[in-house]
Amino acid sequence: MIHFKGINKIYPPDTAAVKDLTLHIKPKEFVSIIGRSGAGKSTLVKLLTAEERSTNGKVVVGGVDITSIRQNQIPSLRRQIGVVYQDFRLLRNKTIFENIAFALQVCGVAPARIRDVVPQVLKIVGLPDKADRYPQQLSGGEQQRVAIARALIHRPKVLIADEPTGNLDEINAKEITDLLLKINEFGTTVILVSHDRHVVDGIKKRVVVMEDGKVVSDKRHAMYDL
Amino acid sequence: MLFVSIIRAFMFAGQSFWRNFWLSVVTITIITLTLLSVNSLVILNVIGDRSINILKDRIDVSVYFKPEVTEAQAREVRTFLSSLAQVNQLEYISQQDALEQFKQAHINDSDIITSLAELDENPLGATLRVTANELGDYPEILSILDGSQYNEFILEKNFNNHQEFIARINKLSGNIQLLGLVAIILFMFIATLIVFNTIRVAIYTQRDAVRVMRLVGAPNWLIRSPFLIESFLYGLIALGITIAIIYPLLRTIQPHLSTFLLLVDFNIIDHFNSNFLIIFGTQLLGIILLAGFSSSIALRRYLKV
Repeated sequence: MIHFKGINKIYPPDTAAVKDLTLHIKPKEFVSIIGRSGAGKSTLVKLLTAEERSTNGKVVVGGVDITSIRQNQIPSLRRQIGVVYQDFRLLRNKTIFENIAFALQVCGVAPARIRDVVPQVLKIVGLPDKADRYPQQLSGGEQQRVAIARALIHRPKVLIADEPTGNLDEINAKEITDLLLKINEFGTTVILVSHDRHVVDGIKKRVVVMEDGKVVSDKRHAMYDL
Repeated sequence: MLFVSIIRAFMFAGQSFWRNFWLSVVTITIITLTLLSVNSLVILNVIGDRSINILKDRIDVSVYFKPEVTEAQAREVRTFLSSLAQVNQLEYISQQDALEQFKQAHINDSDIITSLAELDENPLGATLRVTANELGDYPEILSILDGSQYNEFILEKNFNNHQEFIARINKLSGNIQLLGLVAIILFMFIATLIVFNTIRVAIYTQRDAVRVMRLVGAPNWLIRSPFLIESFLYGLIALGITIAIIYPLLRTIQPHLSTFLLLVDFNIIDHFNSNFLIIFGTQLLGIILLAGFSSSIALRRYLKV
């Protein structure tokens, strides 16, 4: 599904964020990537979404080498990869329904289809009755679920969660983690980047440890151990 | 799907326009000023050209024959002049007609009329009024006449030389055009900067939405196009306002064209109407290019898609 082959990412003049990284992620896998600040986790996410280009090496997603992907092909890649962030990135002047619908509108989906799909996704994330609310009227956990719903709207093969529980309390963090696991059970590959020990330990899936731009540990059914 | 996306692009553009309403007003104002300066130059050009053409038409050479020259001899001279390539038109005024015209011109001068009545013979000779193809042909025609065998028939040659006046008008017109051009270039430069800044602010105002659009895989053209559409909208509205200002202005100046510039048969409003597409179509194209160029630079710099 996802292959990082000998990836190096150097930010000018000479900051190596990722060093000779090789990592394979299979379809439908749930992988937690952990490490200290500056280990290169976020850079890895950016390389996967083509927000950054590797200095050398290859990134292959779904059999397609995205290392030298053209600018006009990036949107297509991003529709196959859903991403949620710590800060939710919802639009405060739009309702929950409109926030999720926006992701479809900007990809040219017809209004009738949007009216069908959005309620379905809201149901998956457990917010069927909150469609008319605004983000600021929801709790942090609910907002993150909306962000996940938006990330799922194109039925991506991969869902990346970059510190999704960073702004949440323990209870909400657990809900989010459970939701990610549920999404993974539906067949979506999930990559979780997290500092949260409790979250990672609760999942008991594959854990990849990064340090200084390299993978230093890669264990199945592992715990948070830096 | 494409049609839906295009409609949405227009909707996003409209939203951005309203969100930065006062900035939009400023941008439209600057573009309108640019277009008004262009149209002022067009008006001056049109009036200047017409005035000069009228003056050119009034330039001619009048050849006055001696009273004893017969009509046959005068017609001989006429035939000779009509063979010259430089001559455009010839008007022959017979002795009798010349006398009648003279009497008409001095109808209120009783002394002259009384003196004429006392004469037995017509004191005036026939007249040939010569119009040349070009202004520069007149000296040549006069020179040819001077050197010809017919010179002995000629009492006097009168060259109504408005050439100096035309040269002055040309110079004045040229100076005004130059000033106008400088004003246009200045306004265009300011308009380019204003549009650039407005789009930059629009990108900043919409940064959250743009970020989400990039995140969810919106096509690049759909991210960029609302800003381009917005800049075109500024140009279109500015042109509409310009037209709304120009036509009343033309109605105001039209009466003065007849009075002060002797442009009796010229209607500047009709001129603008019959050349509407060329005049305003060219301006629309120009303003779209300017807005497109300016906003493209802003997008490339600040949007990063």
